[in-house]
Amino acid sequence: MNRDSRHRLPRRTLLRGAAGAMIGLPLIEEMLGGHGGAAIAGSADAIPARAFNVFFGLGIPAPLQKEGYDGVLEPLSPLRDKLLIMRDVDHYRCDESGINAHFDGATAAFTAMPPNGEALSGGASIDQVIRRSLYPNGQPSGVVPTLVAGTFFRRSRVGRFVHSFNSDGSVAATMQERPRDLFARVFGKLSDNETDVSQLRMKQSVLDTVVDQYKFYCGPGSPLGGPSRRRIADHLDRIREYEQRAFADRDLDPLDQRIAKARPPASEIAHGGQADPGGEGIDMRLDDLTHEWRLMADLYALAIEMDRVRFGSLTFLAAGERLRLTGDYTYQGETRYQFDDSKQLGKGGSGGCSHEFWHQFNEKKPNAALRAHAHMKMREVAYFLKRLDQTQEPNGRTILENACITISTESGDGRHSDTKRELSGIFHAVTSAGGRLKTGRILDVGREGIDVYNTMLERICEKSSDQGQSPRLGETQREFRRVDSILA
Amino acid sequence: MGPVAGGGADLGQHHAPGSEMSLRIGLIACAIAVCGDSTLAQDPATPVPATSTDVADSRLAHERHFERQVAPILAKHCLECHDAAAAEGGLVLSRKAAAFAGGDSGVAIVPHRPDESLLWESIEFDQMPHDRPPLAAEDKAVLKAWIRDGAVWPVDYVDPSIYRHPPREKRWVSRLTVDEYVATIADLFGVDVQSSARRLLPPDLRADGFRNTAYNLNADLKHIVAYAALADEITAQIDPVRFAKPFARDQTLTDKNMRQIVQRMGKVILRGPLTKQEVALYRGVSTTVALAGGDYRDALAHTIAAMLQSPRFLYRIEAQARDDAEPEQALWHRDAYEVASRLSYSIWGSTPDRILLKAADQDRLSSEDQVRKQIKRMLGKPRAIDRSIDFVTQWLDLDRLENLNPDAQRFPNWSPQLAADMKRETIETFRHLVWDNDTPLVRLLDAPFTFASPDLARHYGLKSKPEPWAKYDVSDVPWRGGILTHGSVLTIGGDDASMVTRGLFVLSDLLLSEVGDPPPGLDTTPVPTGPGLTHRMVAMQRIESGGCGGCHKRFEPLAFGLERYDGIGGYQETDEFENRLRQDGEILFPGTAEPVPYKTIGQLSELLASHPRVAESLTRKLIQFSIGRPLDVTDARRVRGVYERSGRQDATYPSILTETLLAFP
Repeated sequence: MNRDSRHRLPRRTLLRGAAGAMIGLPLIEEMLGGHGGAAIAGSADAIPARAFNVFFGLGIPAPLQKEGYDGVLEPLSPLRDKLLIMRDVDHYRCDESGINAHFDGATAAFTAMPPNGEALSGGASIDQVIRRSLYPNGQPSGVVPTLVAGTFFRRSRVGRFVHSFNSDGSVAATMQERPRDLFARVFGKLSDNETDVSQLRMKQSVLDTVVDQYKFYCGPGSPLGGPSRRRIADHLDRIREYEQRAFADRDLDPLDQRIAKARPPASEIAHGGQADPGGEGIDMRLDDLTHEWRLMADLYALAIEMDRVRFGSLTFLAAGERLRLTGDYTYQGETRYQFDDSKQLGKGGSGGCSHEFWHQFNEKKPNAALRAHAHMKMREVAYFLKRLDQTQEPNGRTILENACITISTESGDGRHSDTKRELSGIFHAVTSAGGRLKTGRILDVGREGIDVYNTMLERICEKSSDQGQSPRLGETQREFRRVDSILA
Repeated sequence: MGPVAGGGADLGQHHAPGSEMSLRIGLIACAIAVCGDSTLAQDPATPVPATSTDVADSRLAHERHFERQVAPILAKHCLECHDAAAAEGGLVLSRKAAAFAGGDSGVAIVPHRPDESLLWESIEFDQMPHDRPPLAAEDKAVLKAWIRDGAVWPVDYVDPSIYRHPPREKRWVSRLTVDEYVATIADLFGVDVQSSARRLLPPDLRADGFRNTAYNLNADLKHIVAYAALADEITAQIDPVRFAKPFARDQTLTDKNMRQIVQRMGKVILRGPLTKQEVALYRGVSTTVALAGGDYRDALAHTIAAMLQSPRFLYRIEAQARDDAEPEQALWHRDAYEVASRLSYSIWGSTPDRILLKAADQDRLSSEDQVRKQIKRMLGKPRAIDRSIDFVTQWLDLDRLENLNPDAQRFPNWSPQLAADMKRETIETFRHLVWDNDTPLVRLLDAPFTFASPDLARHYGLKSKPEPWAKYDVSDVPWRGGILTHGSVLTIGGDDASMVTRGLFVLSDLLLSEVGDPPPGLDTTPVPTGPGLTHRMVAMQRIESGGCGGCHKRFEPLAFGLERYDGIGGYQETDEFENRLRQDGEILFPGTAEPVPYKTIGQLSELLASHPRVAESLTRKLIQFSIGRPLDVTDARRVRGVYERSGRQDATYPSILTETLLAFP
């Protein structure tokens, strides 16, 4: 969307335009056309702090990153003024020998720490650090604390597909892997059938009772240790969210009521255990993949636009993803490639998955299939980012510009290519976070991911850290090396 | 880490052989003797203990220091080159006796004398680890202080698989898993909510091998919605008045009656007595119901619904240390109701029964003997069998079979039913061994029988029986017997029957060991077989190559015995290219220097079943499942205790579970 064609209007009005671009949710467009989007938290003029981690699987080998927007990064080029592409960022300190490079790299993304278990990161992810720093007393009522979602099919370890972690390393929220699940998590109405006021009152009483017990177990008199108290506190937060959604008087918000009754279509592709049959991969048509992903991306973007979500992560394909993709790949109306992974690799099962193109990467060869896959991933990441770039906020910037959106991946330059060590040269891109970070260029950072992340945190959380040091990732005794080159 | 004394060049210049070496040999004997019993008293840097208790405490502290500080450094930085198999420079640092004996260049560790210890000298000057980053200053300080303080070395073997992993946070409260929730509801109310619970609750995901890993049992909005809906469903299915009758004085909403119901009913549902404040809270529900025009039945239903959504029901609340300190007291020193819950969820995966709660009421869970009696009683109940099947299902990830989808052209005989039969085969074998025959757990590896449907029997090359499900004696069938020959396990290798994957399974899940990642820049695309090229030959190429062989020789030969099984467990003596397939190989047991050869899959299974390493590995798996968290270095002592007391290689599922419950407070 051309900035000149827009006006500086509150989100609720602009959502009308935003929804028009969505696929699969015609009802939403119709509803928004009549009412506009309703930001449920805060005033329409306030620009909320937001941070999201966008992950894509299998990475981009460093030699291909060097080609800039002329190569596989081409789909990001329309957003080039709003992105800072960072090359030569290392996570090698996160390499845990004996585990799995895909997994190591995936959990290093956004945390810069080695994993601490199959479903446990080594520390908080960027979005959660910002969340805790800028909203120490919690987010406004009605905002989903953290939204974790994704379209992915490799499931052996949670860290392969979840990319938002609490400071204790546990996942920040349950993964929503179907568009319908995400919709229910953010917009779903919880008490459709409950019209009896006395019944509602009794149910409220039930919850009030247990809320007091949860308060006790996460409070100072609790017999539990720190991680357990935090877990109980999280549970309590979910109960409060449930109360707000189930019992709040919503008559004043007809849009909410209408959205809650609209559900996206059921997924037609595999989920759960069927999506990862023993690591052997599954067949997937490109159209089916992009349809599901774009519906997910639309809904996630809508949740942000309606200020229902301020923090979280979105995953497009897991670390070490195994798909046998088929179908014509087009970009800007031009057929760029014909995916037929299994046939091109001459194998079925895991050996026929696009994953193998990364194993076979050789800088001296064309790597046509890998390039097409990586290009496609950038196209889909750009799809989500563009959705956020369609909504202008009162300060004249779009959501994409105001939010801190970090895009990263796994070991793009690890064992899959010919470099000196694993987890080096990981692709990163960030948005400006409200003008705090430099954009509009491609930088060869040449630094460790932890320094990049901590530099971002220092700048983004500086307002909240007047009284002390800004929040940081990693060991406290580690010397902080600011990466000035990424700061605006 | 490279060899401490590799070639002797680096160290030899500082320590020439000759009379000095003789002196060192003398010191070796001294070192071993010192470490035996008198180290602490002789160390001038260590305060002389005043009493025998002080001596014991001090020794325990030094031993713990070794296990938690020193051994992890050795495991992480030294054992890659200085375990028994590699023994570079003739130095083995994984075994106590060998470590004190030193290597080709002399004595590596001289207690109390860091400056005379080659280990310290090579580390101090960054000669070691060879060709690796030097040790951090704090790690160096730990090693130097350890030698200076007497080099207490309390274990025979520094097992890298145990000591390489740093301590983890343990204080995660356990939410009931979906299975535990369903079982608890069934036991409390006699209501089956399996279908609803599985539909409404998000599935619990595997983390570190099991679905009950506490750190991963968080709660999302969907849980809250589901718990509320399930509470409604449960209270609608039961007759609340009838359920509350044993706890009630009468059927009125009077304070006296409702207070008593809350107290008595709450103790059963919430697995322990309620505090006054909790009684007041739940009493408030019935008050609200009354004010809203509800009756006695409504009050009970809503009170039960509240309890079913409380943290005391949904979580297994136990008193935890507020800091990192580990509880040292025995299990039976805990609150009796915590003991009851610990026993019931570990053994049954469900809530304490009335006998257990009564024992808690009467303070009859406060000694080892009393707890043992309860464990024995509980292991005799059918629920214990269900729980054990949950263990084997999760350990071997048998649910994976439900989603397998092998290449249909390659495996036209595959069907979902065959997959279900494979899962059932392993479960029934486990059940028969553990519960019908009270057999040691290691017999899973070489059981001379199996269970199969006619289709599965044919798939396995057995003469099928007419019964839809039958036990098969395979003692005369050389290619079947033990879980390594089960389709449920063999399919982990994928369609290509990967020797890498199968070998790594044996290495990590049975031999409790691990290897490093492939080096950077390596094309790990599986090499296809072809005429004249079998999987074994491809594996041998890797083993014989300089870059890969160091690790691959440790695990691929473990899968050589499985070469004759295709990707879905079918047995064949030639592959699709008419290459003849073999079944001989060798096992290098972790911690040993020489591999043990085997000629057949039967011998491989027997070797594994008879080796303590496998028994120890199975013990660790069951301990992890029982306590709901991965083990780390701080558990090493307790794990050894469980292994010893449960019977080592003769340990059974009940004996391991019993000793685990008694060992972990």
